[in-house]
This record gives sequence, structure tokens and C-alpha cells, in this order.
Amino acid sequence: MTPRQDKILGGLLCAAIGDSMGAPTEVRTTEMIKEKFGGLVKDLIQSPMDNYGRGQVAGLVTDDFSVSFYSCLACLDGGGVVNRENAANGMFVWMDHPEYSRNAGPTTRTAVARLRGEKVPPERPLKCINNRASNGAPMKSGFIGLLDAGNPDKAIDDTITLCEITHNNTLALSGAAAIAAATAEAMKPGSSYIECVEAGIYGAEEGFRRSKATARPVAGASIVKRIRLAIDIGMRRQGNFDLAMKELSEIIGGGLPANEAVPAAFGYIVATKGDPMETIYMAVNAGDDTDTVACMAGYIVGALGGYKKLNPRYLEMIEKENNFDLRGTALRIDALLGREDV
Amino acid sequence: MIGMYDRILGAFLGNAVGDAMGAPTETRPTYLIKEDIGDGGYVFDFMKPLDDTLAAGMEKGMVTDDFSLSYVTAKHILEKGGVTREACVDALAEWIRDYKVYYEKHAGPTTRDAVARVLGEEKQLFLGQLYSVDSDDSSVFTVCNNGEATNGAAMKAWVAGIFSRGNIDIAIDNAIVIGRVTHENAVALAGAGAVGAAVAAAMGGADLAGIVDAGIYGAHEGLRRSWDMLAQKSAGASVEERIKLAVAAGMKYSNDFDACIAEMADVIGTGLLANEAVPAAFGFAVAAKGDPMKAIHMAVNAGNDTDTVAAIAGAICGAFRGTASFPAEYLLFLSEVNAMDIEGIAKQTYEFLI
Repeated sequence: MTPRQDKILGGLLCAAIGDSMGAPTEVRTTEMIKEKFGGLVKDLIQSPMDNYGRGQVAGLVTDDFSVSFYSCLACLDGGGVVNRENAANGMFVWMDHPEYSRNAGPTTRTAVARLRGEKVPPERPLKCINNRASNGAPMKSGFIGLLDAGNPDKAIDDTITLCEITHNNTLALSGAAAIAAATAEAMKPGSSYIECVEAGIYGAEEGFRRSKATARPVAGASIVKRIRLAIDIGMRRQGNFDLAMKELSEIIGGGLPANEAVPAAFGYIVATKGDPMETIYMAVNAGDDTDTVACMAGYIVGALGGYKKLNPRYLEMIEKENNFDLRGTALRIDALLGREDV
Repeated sequence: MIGMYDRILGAFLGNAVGDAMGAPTETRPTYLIKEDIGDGGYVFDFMKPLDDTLAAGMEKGMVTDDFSLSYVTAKHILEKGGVTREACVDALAEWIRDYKVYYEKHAGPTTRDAVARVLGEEKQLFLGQLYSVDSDDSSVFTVCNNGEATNGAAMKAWVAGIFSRGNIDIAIDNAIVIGRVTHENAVALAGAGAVGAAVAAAMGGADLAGIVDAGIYGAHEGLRRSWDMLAQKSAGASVEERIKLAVAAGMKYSNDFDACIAEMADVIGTGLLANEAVPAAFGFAVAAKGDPMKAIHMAVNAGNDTDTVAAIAGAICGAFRGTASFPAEYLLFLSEVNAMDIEGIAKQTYEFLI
């Protein structure tokens, strides 16, 4: 495997690991996770019956990685480009897999129905619908950073195209662009977590600015400023896993809104100096929307560290349980990027 | 020396003014408040809500769910002679019946769910009693209901502060009673505890620092005391820790209106969640040095859930400073537009408490 192939597979696999490892811990607090599982969760295990995972087997991913992966395949199948049609096809395939999309919210379902040309009930004529600034956009944008390896600027544009079909508001797109831009930066040889975080802030700023003319306005805390706050916390707490995780979850939060989940992901990356599995462990055990945060962070740190930093057993498990061809997909992305290594 | 009656009326007025002035700016970010509502500048007065807001169709000066449900809750507490669950359930029933327009236009997601649950077929049933891992409904089988960590408990918790005779611990317990009728969620009740405790401290004559201390204590205790009562738990950012961050922001930007609202809106957040709206209200109260109208003006222009943040900040500051800083005509104007006897209920509350 070439270094670039290693990075691509690392990004895909680490995102899948984060999602799957977070499935059992989702919705709980750190204390509740420790109590339920006898300590922090650091392996792929079966989900309990009292969260959205609903007893799902170890290694199965959830809505997060699956929507991202099907979107990735749709873009590869559709000529290797990110356009509206490919983005919509990814959503259609995903919705046809209820094992992954069963917990999709009303906003996503309505958006997909509209894309399919179905009649949807008219909505209340509000200028701003602030609860749509959710992490549903950033949870699927990580793969864009692999397709646009080394090119954060293109990753930002492609992310807006990918995500505006379901989350056409400035904050969700700002968050999605942050994840994709950071992943694109992570694909550069010699990149460290510091450049990735800087690219993430750039992506958040540009995602907001470039989408402002076409996306709906929303009110909500700034992704950019909250990433900066998360960096402060993560940097001061490097070397103290428990305290970093506690402060990030208490102050930044790790919930459904994009302006919690995305900044939290960057906070964990800084706190662990970009170590792939340490980042995942922190995201998985910080509580709330753990699988989403771990999946998003996983794209970045997985591409940064590469497949060589990950446990090959997880690759076997995830490919088998989900019937996903991660290795083949990584090679397809690599082929798309051309002969010249980035 | 601010008298007890003046503090009570100040809290009622602060809550009503903040709510009514925030209603037209609610949901928008600051730049759109200026562009669409403030004619290029900030909004410092009551306005007629535009058609693309939650308050569409309401008149200038009309309050929303925040004050109307608080007002009815206070009314039933007076009728029942104390803060009880029964009084709060009756208040909710009267609110959706007689204050229908406020409920239909403004009630948030958690309160709407609660109305069906508390007043429907299975009257008085807590969501916690529905919790069962055997159900097929994800709102029933999940161990945590994180989506219900909203600010609807905190928006009416100031009433608990008024009725606690300055006792912070009683205020926290009462805030949980009032909040729990609609919000079976520990993060939401942490927000309620913070607001109830802060208003109680103000009623007891505390200074601004004492009010902040009470708020932080109330957030901690609201979470701790409600946690074991609730079958479904809640993960979410800490109301207590975010109050500290918001108070710090308020102190740092006290003399800079623009920077203060930007910091609060962009970093703390001023949205639907209890761990945004409540900390932001404390931040504005501190930045305004406890002046109700200054705090309300900041909250109204900070964007997002402006009316709730302004209503909470208004109640805390109103209890702290009394009625002196409100323009004299506001009381009559709001009482008339909303057909609510604000002065009358403040008087009854005073008479009940002495």
C-alpha cells in the first residue's frame, strides 16, 4: 500500500471505528458510560437495548458513517465528482437501508422526499429554522477531504454541494466544511494535527462565507469561535485525558447541534495531539452524540495517522458486519486522485 | 433600599418586557435583526412582529410563552396557596385553554410533548413513568432524553424565586417542581435551578456577585437534586460551567455592547437549549451590572431565542433592581395589550408572602 492509500484507508476506517465504537455509548454521560460498561469503552462492542443502537452487534456502524460512505460511493459511481445528482443518489441509497437510516429525523426525511420529487407538506414560513443547524451535514462530509486530498479549498466547495441538498443553512455547512477541509489537510504528507485544526477553522469560516448567499440564514453559536475555545481547552489539558474529556464535554458539549459536535471533535484532536485511537476513545466516552463526534474526528485523525496506526482486526470486523468494501473503496479514491502522489 | 413589593413587580415586569421586546427578534441572528427589524441598527423598543417569525400575527407588545405561562403559573400558585405540582398542572391546563394563542404560536417542542402527556388521557403521568426498554418508541426506550434539555423549564423558574421568600434552597426545590411539569430532564432543571436561585437571592437583597453565586449553586443543585427523581437521564454541556464562562464574558465586555452580544451569541450561544439560554441570561445580567433594561436590550439583539434570554435576564435584574429602570409607561402598555393584570398579580403575590 502506498502512503496515500494508507491515509485514505485510515480516514475511512477510523471514521467507521469511531461511529461503531460510539454506538453503544451514545446518549449517555461519561459517568453513565463508566457505570454501564464497567469503565471507559475502548473496543467495538454490542450496543445496549436502551439507546439508539438498540442491541446492534459489535462493528456495525450507524447513520453517521453509513450516510457518508454511501455518499462517497455515489460520487465514485457518478464519475468521481461531487455534484447534486450524486449527492442525492447517496441519500436515496442510504434511505433504502433502514438498518442505518431508521433513526433519521423528520428534516432529513422531508428533504429526501423532496429530492425524490414527492409532495411534502408546506412548512411554517419562518426566515430562520435554527434547529436545522445540526450535525447531520458534518457527519457525512469527511470523505470529501479524501476525494479532495490536499486541497481544502476544493473540499469546502464540494462540501457545500454535497450537504446543501439536506442541510442548506450557513451553520450546518460551516461545520461540514470544517471537517472536510481538515481531512483534506490531513491527507498532505507531513501534515500534523496543528495544520489540520488550522484548516478546520479555515473551512468553518469559508463554509459560512461561501454559502451565505444561497443557504438559509440561521442564528446560533459560531462554529469558528467554538473551535477556538475547544482548542484552548484541549491545548491546556494535553496529557490529562480525563480532565480534557470532562472539560470539553461540559463546556463545548457533544450534542446534536453542529456548533457542539464539530468544535468538540477538534478539541479532542488537540487534547490527544491527533493520536487516532486516543481521539476516538475521548469522543466515544465524552457522552451525548458520541458516535457522530467520533466519526467526524475519525476522518481527520485517520487520514492523519493512516491505516498503519489502526487495528487490522477492526477492518475485518467492520467490512464483514456492514458488508462494506473499505479497502476497495480506498483504492478507487486513490485511482481517482491520479498518479501523482499529493 | 428596594422594597419587597418593588422587587416582585420588577421581576414580573422584567420578564414581560424582555419577552415582549424579544418576540419580534426571536430566531434571527444579530445581523438580520438589524437589517430586517432595526432599520439598520439595534432594536430598543417594542415592535410589531414580521410574518416570518414565530410571533407572526401578534401585536406590538404582546408577550409569548415565557411570560404568559409564568403569569398563569403564579396565579395558580396563589390560588393553591403554594408551589405544588397540582398548581402547575392546573396552570398548564388553563394556559392552553385560555391563552391558546400564546401556546399555539410559541410553545417549544418539550412543552408540547408535555401537554399531551400531562393533560391527555394519562393525566399527571411523568414521562419517567413511561420509560421502558421494551417499548418500540425511541423516546421511551432510550435511557437519556437529551433532546428535552430545553429552556422551557428555566423560562418560568423565576416564579419559584419570587415565592421562596429569599431562601435559595427552597427556590431550587420549587424550580424543580415548576419545571418538571413540562421538562423531565436534569439539564433543563439545572437551568431552572439556576434561575430560581438567582431570583431568590435577589429577593433576599443579595448583591450582583451574590446573585451569580446563587445561580451557579442553583445550576449545580438543580442537576443533582433532580437526577435521581428522573427515570430518563440527560447528557449535555454543563449549565453550571457555561454560566461561569458567560459571566466571565459579561465582565470582560461590560462596556462594549457590540462585543458583548457577539461573544454571548457566538461562543455561549443564545438558543433553545437550557445550557445556552440560561448562561447567556446571566452573562447579560452581569454585563448590564444588573440593570434590567440594559440586560434586556443586549439579549433582544443577540439573536436566536432572544425573548427567552431577555425574559430570564429581565426577571433576575428586575428582582435585583426593582421597577426604577423601566420606562413608566411599559407597565400599563403591556398590561393592556396582553389583557393581563401585571400589577394586580404582583400585589397579590406580595400580600401572600408577607
